[in-house]
Amino acid sequence: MSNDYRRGRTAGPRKWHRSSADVRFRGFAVGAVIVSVVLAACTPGSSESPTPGQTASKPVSTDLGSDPVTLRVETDNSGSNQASLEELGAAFQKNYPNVTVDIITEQFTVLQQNGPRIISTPDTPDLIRFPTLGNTVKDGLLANLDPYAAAYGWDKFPATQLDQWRVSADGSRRGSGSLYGMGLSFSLTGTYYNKEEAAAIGMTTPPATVADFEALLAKAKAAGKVPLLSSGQDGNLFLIFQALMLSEGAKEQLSDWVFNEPGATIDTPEALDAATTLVEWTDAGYLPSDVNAINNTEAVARFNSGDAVFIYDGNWNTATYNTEMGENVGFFLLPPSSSGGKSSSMSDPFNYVIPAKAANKDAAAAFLNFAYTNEGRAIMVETTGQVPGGPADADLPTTGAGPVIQDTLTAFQQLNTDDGIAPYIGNATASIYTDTIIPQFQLLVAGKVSPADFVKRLQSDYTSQLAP
Amino acid sequence: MVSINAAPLPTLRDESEAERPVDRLHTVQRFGGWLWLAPSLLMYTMFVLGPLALTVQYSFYSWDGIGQSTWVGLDNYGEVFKNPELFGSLVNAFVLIIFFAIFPILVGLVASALLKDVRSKAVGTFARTVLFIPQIIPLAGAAIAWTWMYSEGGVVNQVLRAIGLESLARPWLGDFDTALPAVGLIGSWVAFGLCTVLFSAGMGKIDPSLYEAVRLDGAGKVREFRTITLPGLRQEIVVVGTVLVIAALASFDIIYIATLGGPGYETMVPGLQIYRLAFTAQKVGLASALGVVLTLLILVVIVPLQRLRREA
Repeated sequence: MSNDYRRGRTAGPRKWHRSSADVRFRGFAVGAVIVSVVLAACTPGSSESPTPGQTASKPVSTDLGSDPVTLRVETDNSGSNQASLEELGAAFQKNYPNVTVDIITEQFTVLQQNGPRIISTPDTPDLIRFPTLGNTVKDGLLANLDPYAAAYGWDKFPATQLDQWRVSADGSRRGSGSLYGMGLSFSLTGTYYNKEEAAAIGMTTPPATVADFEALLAKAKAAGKVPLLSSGQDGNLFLIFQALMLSEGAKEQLSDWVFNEPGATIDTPEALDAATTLVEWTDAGYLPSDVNAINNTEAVARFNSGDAVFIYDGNWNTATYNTEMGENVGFFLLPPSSSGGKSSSMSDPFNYVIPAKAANKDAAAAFLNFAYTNEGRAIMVETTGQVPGGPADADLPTTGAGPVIQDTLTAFQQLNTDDGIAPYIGNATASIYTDTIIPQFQLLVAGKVSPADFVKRLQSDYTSQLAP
Repeated sequence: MVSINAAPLPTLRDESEAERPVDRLHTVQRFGGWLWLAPSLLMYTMFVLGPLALTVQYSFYSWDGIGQSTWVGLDNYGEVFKNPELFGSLVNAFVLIIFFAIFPILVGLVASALLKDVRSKAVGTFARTVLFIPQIIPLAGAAIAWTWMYSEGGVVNQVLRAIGLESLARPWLGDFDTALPAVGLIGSWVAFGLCTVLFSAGMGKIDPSLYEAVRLDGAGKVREFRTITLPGLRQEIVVVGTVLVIAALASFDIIYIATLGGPGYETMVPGLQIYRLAFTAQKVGLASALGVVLTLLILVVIVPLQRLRREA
């Protein structure tokens, strides 16, 4: 840049006035130099490789001492999250008077998408709701919870509660390895039913097999009701598909797939059967004809209004159903394909992590642990209607909150006994839910893609999304 | 650095002035202009050129946004054109130009031509206000309202059923054939008011004697519109066209609220795709490459449009 300038000055008598082409060239040269300097300056991202899975430099402690500590907990502002954490925090403060719990909230999608950036800053919260693993372990952003799990005895909980946030040392596989996240409570999917309508079509007890359930759908259709609701616009059809796979005993297969075990595939007979059944149910009118245009909010509203007999949904909506329908709503897990088989369904922790840069890791771990005490479990059930974490033999909190909440608690206990918790296929890769599951299920039920091609596509997208 | 006070304001000079020998004063004059430009140039560099250069840089890397990055050359660009969903989103953006730009401009021209002849001032103002209201409503709010109207039991289907066109009723945003035109029409509705108001203002500037002259020549309404109004509005049409074409190609909010790119991949647009790639899939490099391609495509469409205005 400066050379260019000096050359201009020394080239004999020169007009002050420069031609516009010259000016333009200079502008271009300056721009090119700036851009190339910027480009050459550095490659994006951190230059040094972090040490994944590094443990806290300080030994962990379950004793929070007596010095004042402010524990900053960040969560998403959906549903009853904030209220329930505030209640849990207040109870926690009574047990640990030197700790002040400060609840920060953020919209779920913001939390999901900015999570990695939020926890990479020095003033990160100490405990944060963190739905997607992504590259966070590989990038060294999360604290390894193994020492806390040992100190508090979380490792004695049913393995399936902790599997989903166990990560291999290189961050590439889940399901085994060190523990990086814990749920304050758990999600659970199953069938909600309208008791009046179900009685009207002759259902006295929850169906024992998938065939029984299918017969009920046929009766509901004949009675002029919407048999089974779901929301295709936001991809919830995959819940039915996956539940059908689990009814055929595909739990290990699905877990391997979601946990990214090398060689795992979903291009299997069970998946093909489930996709075929889903298409048959759609064609038979068991699902509403406009299922692709229904989002979750609308599906819930339609079920609450009494239009439908069943809705396949998750317990994040239990509190809503309970408020709107009270005694008239019940819950059962989709039954196994043959009578007497083990129950299996999707569930995952409403996950929290302790960032590697958090200032008060011990207090954050103590807060997590408080959620698994009888006092904490009761608060989580009362405030969220979700199922609490903890040991398989822990007392079920009894709640006067409503029969549907009690139904989900019992079902979760059953899953723990049967070792039947499976992770969601929507979590198999960071983008599979939005990029593949939502559009491909819409194409499947619209008859635009065959079940065989659909299953192949799930697998090929999975492979390409996992490629580095 | 020379004090600013010593520097006269830089002025345009003619050839004779420029012949004077170079002296200190001229050095000052030479850089004085840059000094005045410096604050805004600094901002422009920091917030526009800088991010632009970074985007170009990122597009050559495979990077998750946090950790280490790997140089991949042009691979990301190859992916943009090879992947049918990414390429399809670019095609959808061009289809949206019809709905976001061409359609509202045509309707806006007709509406403002009709409004011009409304004699009552009150009625004219009222009509313009009503037409402009969609422009005031936030896009997200408009999209939510339209998703209700388009739903199975929504106003659109109610009207169709009421007039006996039951066979046409459908969940417009969930239907593979109608989803893209349906979201496109939301954009038309929003842009239509802006076009009408700008064109009405533009017509106000046209010399009334021109209209008188053409009328004396015995021209009808259509002829009057073609020979006087349309050429008179050339500037406005190009400006509105530029703004709306950019809005179509870079659309995000209406799609994000109304369809999330569905059903299938029918309404996916590059704006939404970039957002997902960068923040959900954590593929910052690929997102940047798609962003660069989109920017270039916008320039390819916009630059010839500007030429049209200069010729006017």
